Parts: sequence; C-alpha cells; structure tokens
Amino acid sequence: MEEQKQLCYKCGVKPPNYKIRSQKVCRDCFIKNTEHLFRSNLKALLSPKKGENLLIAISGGANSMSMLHLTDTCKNPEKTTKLMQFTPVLLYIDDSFIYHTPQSQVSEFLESVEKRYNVHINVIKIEEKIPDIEEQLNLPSQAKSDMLYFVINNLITDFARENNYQKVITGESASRVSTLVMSEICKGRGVSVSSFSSPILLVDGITIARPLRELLEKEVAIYHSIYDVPLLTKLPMAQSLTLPWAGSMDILIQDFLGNLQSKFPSTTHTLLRTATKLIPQGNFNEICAICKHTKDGPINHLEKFNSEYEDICYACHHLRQNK
Amino acid sequence: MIKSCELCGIEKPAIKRPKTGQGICKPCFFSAIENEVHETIISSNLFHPGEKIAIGASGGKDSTVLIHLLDLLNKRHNYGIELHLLSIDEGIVGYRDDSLVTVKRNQEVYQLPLTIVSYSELFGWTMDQIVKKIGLNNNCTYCGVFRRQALDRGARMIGAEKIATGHNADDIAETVLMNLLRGDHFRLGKSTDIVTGEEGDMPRCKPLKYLYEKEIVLYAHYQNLDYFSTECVYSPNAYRGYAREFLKDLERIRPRAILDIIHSGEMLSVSAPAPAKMTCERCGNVSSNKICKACTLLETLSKP
Repeated sequence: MEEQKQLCYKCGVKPPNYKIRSQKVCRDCFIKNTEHLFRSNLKALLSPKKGENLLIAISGGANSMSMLHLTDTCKNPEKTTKLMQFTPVLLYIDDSFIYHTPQSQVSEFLESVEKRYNVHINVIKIEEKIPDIEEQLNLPSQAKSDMLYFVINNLITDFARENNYQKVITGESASRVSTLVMSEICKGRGVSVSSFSSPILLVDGITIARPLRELLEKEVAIYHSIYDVPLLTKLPMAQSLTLPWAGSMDILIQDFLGNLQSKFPSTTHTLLRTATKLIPQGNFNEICAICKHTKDGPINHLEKFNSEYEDICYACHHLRQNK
Repeated sequence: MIKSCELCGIEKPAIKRPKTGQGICKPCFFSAIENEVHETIISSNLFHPGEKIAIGASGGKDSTVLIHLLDLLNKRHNYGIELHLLSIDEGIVGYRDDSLVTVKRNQEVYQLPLTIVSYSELFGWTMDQIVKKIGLNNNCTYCGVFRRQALDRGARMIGAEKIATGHNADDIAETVLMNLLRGDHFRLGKSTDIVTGEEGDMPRCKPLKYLYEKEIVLYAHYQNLDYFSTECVYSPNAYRGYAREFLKDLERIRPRAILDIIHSGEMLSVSAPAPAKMTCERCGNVSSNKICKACTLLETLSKP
C-alpha cells in the first residue's frame, strides 16, 4: 500500500519526479501530458491548417520559449502521429534599447534559437519602429512597464496585419494570465478583464491565442529546464529602494498569487474561471487608443476628469497622469 | 523654506493626505473629507427628507466617523433625515461590552437615540457560547451571518427605512479581491454597489465608500473622536488577512490602487443570472434558499 503511494499518478509504474497541484507525476508522463495539452489547446483555439502561417511571438522569457519548443513538437513524428502542417513564423520585438541588454547577448540568443529550431526570426527593433519611444516611456517604473507591454502587443498585431498573418500565438501561462487579470483590476482596467483572461482574442481581425493558458508557471519552468531551451534574461524595470517589491505592483501581485497558490492549489485556476464569467457593466463601443481595450470613463463623482474629451480609457488616463 | 498647504496656500501643512499625497492643513483636510462624503451622498441620492436612518454603530473608528459626519452633514446641508444608532451585541466579553460603552458615550455627545439588539435575545446564543461549542475555526461565519440578520431586524424594530454602515474604500477593495480569489462572481458584481438590498425591505448604504481607512483614522484622531480600537478576540480570519496585507502593500506602491480596484468592480457585471431572492420559510427573513443561512447555522448549533 505504502509502495503504491510513491508511484506516478498517471502511469502507476514509475516513481514520481514532480508534484503538480498536489499530484505526483514522473518525468515521462509530465512531458507527455504537457505536450498533449499544448497540442490539443492549439488545435482547439486556432486549428492551424496545412501551409497556413502561424505567427509565434517570442520575448526570450521561459513562457514564450517553452511555447516555441512545444510548437516544434507539433511537427515531430516521434512526439505525435497527428502531425500539424502549419508554417511557423517567428517574431521577436527587440526591446534591448529599453532594458539596456547588451546587443551581443541578444544576437547570441537569436542565433542559438535559429540554429536549434532551424527557423528564421523576424526582428523588430522598438526604437526603429517608434522613434519617440524614450519620450513615450518617460514614466515611473510601473507605468513604464505597463506602457511597454501595450506598445509590444500593438507592434505584434501591426506586424501580423502588415504581413497578412491571421493567427498569432503568445506564451502567457496560467500564472501569468492570472497575474495580469489581478494586476489590471488593481490598475482600474476591470472593464476589460474578460479579454485579459481569455485564451483567445480578436484584435483588428487578427486572432491571438494563448495555448499555454492552462499550464502553471511551475509546469512551464520544469518543461523549460528539461529541454534546456534558450533563454534571454531581462531585469525588472522597478528599482525603488524604499518601496516594497522595488515599487512594482506586478512583482507584488506575482509574489502574492504565488504564495496563495502554494497554500491553496486551486487559486490560479479559480481566479481565471471567475474572470471569464465577468462582463462589462453597460455598453461600450469605443476602444482605448493606448491599451486597445474597452474605453471606459470615471463613474465616481469625485474623479475630476471627463473621459468624453479623451480617446483613452480610465486606467490609461491615470497611467499618463504619472508623467 | 516652509511649504504652505497645497489647497489653501495659507496654513502650515499638517497632514500628507494618503489618497492624493498632498500636504494639507487640518481645516482643509476636514473640509475635503466632509465635502467628499457630502458629494457621495448627493450624487448617489442616498437619503430622502423624512427618512429614518439606522446607523450601524460598533464603537470602532469607521462607525464613529460615520456618526460624526452624518450628524454634521445632516445639520449643515439640511438632509432632513432622522438618525438612530443601532448596535449589535454579539456577546463577546472583553470586546463588545467595552466597545458598547464607547457607543453609549457617543450617543450622549451627539444626542441621538440608541437601540442595542443582542444575539442572545434574537438567536438564543452569544458568540462566547458559540465559540465554546464549535471552536475558533468557523466562528466568523456565524458572527457575520447573524450580524447581517440582526441589523435588518434591529432596523425594522426601530422603524428605519435604511441602514447606513461604515464600510470604507479599503473594505470594499478588499472584498472585490476576496470575491475574485475565491470565485464568488455573483458577489463580485455587487460588492462595489453603494446601496445594496434595494429589492428587499431594508436597503443598506455605505456613505464612506470612497474614504480611505487611513484618512478615517486621521480624521477621527484630529477631530478627537471617541472610538474603540481593539481587534475582536475571535478574529483569526486568515484568508481575509492575506488580502488585507496585500492591499496595504499595494497602497504603499500606488495609493490610487484602492480607488482603481473599486472602479474595476464598478465596471463589472456577471454573465450568469443571479440567484433569486427568497423569504426564509422558518423565520421570514431575506434568504437565497428556502431556509436562510442563519436558521441553518442555528440548527447546526442545536445538535448535540
């Protein structure tokens, strides 16, 4: 009886290597599960057809790089009998200008990815595409990283539209999406919560899917380390010495949710399920010029601004106020 | 160079206002708080002339500031409402008995009528007896459910049309986060409403909805209000504790976050229909099921 407890919950044969959401699993079953879940998610969300271009947006982080590796397994006959015949197109938005990452480090990373996966990477340098980016991002660290997130998302959709790519995948894990949902609620962007939490989005006629949305950060990290996928490390922008969590709401939220997740294993998925059930209160037809989400205005009478004269949402109004 | 108050430009600043970060003098701080609460009451149409309002008075900082502000604004702006203090005695020795002494002192200061209803007279149990029976694990559930019903019954007893409670902005933001984290999407859609229970016969309103907890403490302190500030002896509500601690850290990084969380909650609704409101078959009070939660809990208590 005691012996059985020590075996992988899936195969019941091998000793377990990892514990995922209170369940112990062996290395082989973990890999098989993760890859199967990814392929079925990708199929269900986008069903990319034979010869169809699939734009894969990578940032160099563990999430998007694991997504790239997982996408590669869709074409590997050793991994699956149901091979997917889409054409992968890679896009890297080079933000080293903002993060002050050495150019040599970026080139080395891009070369290693191209060589390993035998693909060409399209690179967009942020400062070439948006010459006044420095001025646009002249904000305190949290606002700066929020603005950069929207700028990068907009560059990805612009690239897809210009090149007529209809389907895009981005690498947000369940933990990342739940952090994003919580973070946007704390920044006043609650009206758009359903799109922040959704596994699939339609932006300007382009479908953006998040095939890693069901995987926890821990699962992605394990998968990433098993295959030693290339990684490009960027330091967080927040650097306050006096405020908690270096003055970053995102780091605080990530830490808070990570802690809760370790005590209550269903935290992340409960949060995501709740968020998908929420809809905007009222009818909104306009789109915010900065974040490209629903444009809303203040309803608290103590807020002294009128959103009718602006083309941006409530949260972006306050984001810009930071200047 | 000594800076002057950022609002009047004359007096020496005495307070850095938590919500805005402005350095302001005491008179400007008082009028900012009073004007904000007045504006909230007027813009949300909270009170109507001739109404009798039961103020939930616990003796704590929030309800003491609420009593002070409603009494002041009612006289200053002629709301024409009749105020009545309503306290609930949960029967917790060393906590509630002491805080009720504070409420009684305030009753004399403001010359307002006071009614105290107790768990023992309404439900036949005091919280001390309940904790003795069930332990410290689930006691906040009993207390919360009973208090809700006790406030309703107390307000009906005194003939009030509405209950005003001292919930502040921090409480509301915390509730939004809690409901999100534990998957209670129905409550999430309603938790930011300034008036709730309008469909029933006893609506509740939160005039301090946009006031930060820190500002309430500052206001009470500088106005020399008489309030009781001890934690309940039975309040180890761990999950809410996480949310509260998180909110305090968030406020330090970005003071606006509390208002932004409330705004997020205000803009949200639920895609599924809400459960219908019913009347409890046993006690006749508002319920979401055939038998209300208070009656269900009382039944559990009566089991040996």
